Amino acid sequence: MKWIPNPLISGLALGMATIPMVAHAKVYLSIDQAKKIMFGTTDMQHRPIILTKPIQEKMQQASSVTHPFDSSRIWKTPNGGWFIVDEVVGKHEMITYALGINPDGSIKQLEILEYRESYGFEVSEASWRQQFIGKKIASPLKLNQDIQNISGATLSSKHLTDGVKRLMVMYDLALKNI
Amino acid sequence: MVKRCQALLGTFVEIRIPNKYSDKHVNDVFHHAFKEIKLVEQLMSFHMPSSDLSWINHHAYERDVIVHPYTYEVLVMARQLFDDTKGAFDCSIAPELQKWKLLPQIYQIDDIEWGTLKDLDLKTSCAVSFRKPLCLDLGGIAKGYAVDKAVQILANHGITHAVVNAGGDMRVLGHQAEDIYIKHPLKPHQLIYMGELSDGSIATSGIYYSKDKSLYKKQSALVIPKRKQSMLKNQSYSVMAKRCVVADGLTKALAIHQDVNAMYLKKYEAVGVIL
Repeated sequence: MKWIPNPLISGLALGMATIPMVAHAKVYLSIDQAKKIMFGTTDMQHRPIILTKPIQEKMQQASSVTHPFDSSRIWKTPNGGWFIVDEVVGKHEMITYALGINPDGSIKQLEILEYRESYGFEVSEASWRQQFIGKKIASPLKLNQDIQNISGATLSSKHLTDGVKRLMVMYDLALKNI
Repeated sequence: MVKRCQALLGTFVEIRIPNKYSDKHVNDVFHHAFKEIKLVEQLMSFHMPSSDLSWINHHAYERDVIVHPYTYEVLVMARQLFDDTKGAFDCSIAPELQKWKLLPQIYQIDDIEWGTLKDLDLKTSCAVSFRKPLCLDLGGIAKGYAVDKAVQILANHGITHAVVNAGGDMRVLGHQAEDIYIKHPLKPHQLIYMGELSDGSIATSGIYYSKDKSLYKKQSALVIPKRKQSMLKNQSYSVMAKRCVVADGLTKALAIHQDVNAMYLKKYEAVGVIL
């Protein structure tokens, strides 16, 4: 191991050595890249659906996720599997992920597409989320995109598990019989 | 650099490798590295009933349980860290974590006289038994171990520089240095620049996230084993060491002893930082 310490931290001069993190964003995969990794092809049938109120309620009950589900990002694969893109919103973070479902209804793969972390105001605020919908548009927020390696107490991924739960409920109630 | 992230070990695991390999090789490397981490999760999860850890927690007091070599290796490491830190690192604190609802209520915990890691009997051929009732939680060490195993897989696939970061426990593969930051223990929107790290690992423990997750708001997952009390100081404890499993385990001992000059840090050629 070789470690060259930042000289400013040796005296515990925290104030001098800190860097503000307004928003921290990482893009891992595009939707097409994720399709290819999971199913080996981007050739899928786009199958946006309209979810009935009872189905939406069941999805919420099963997962305790209240963030609305955007049902326009659903694709059916040539072999009868499904590819769904969704978001989960934590207190300070928003995670866009893709779930691949096998033709038999089992989970094939889960990939994180984007991870965004924000401080100063809640992520769940619609105005904040809005900035990232459609993306690629330059964000007015200062993003610390060059900061890669952050250590700290572990961030739980439980809300992502909840997100997957609601997608599986939707599969069961809506997609399975399509 | 190309990076990929998956939700594993209850957190987000990110792997970064240089952007100079073919797409096929990149996908192959990521696939195998994440698969290895998943294997560690399946073996050492407290939550999964089929994990090695669940098997030993259920049966190792009654009889010998044969575990996967990886589980055995982690238990050997856990025992070694327990001995070296004079019990400050102790992964037999699961009954307390259950009581405080930081772990699910899987095991009956009342009216039992629990042992410590001293009562963990590691026999040959990966056989494990308990001399006293024990309930182990490898959450304080398995993430670091998983990072090490993933780094090994990357190296086996010819990758010479990479970073594997499992929710803040990370390892840098190769001699190329990486800038390392840690989250400020009091202000999570502030980052502290720690310096440059190569061919080594850093892990950080603190209570800045765990505190609010509990139903019992005044407990944290950092526990003083001998007093069965949780730590509530708003500090973060980072350890840098060659192996991530060592860094991960030693952050707990550093939190308890608050001693950056402790002998065990020297033994593992590790550096401790309290912020």
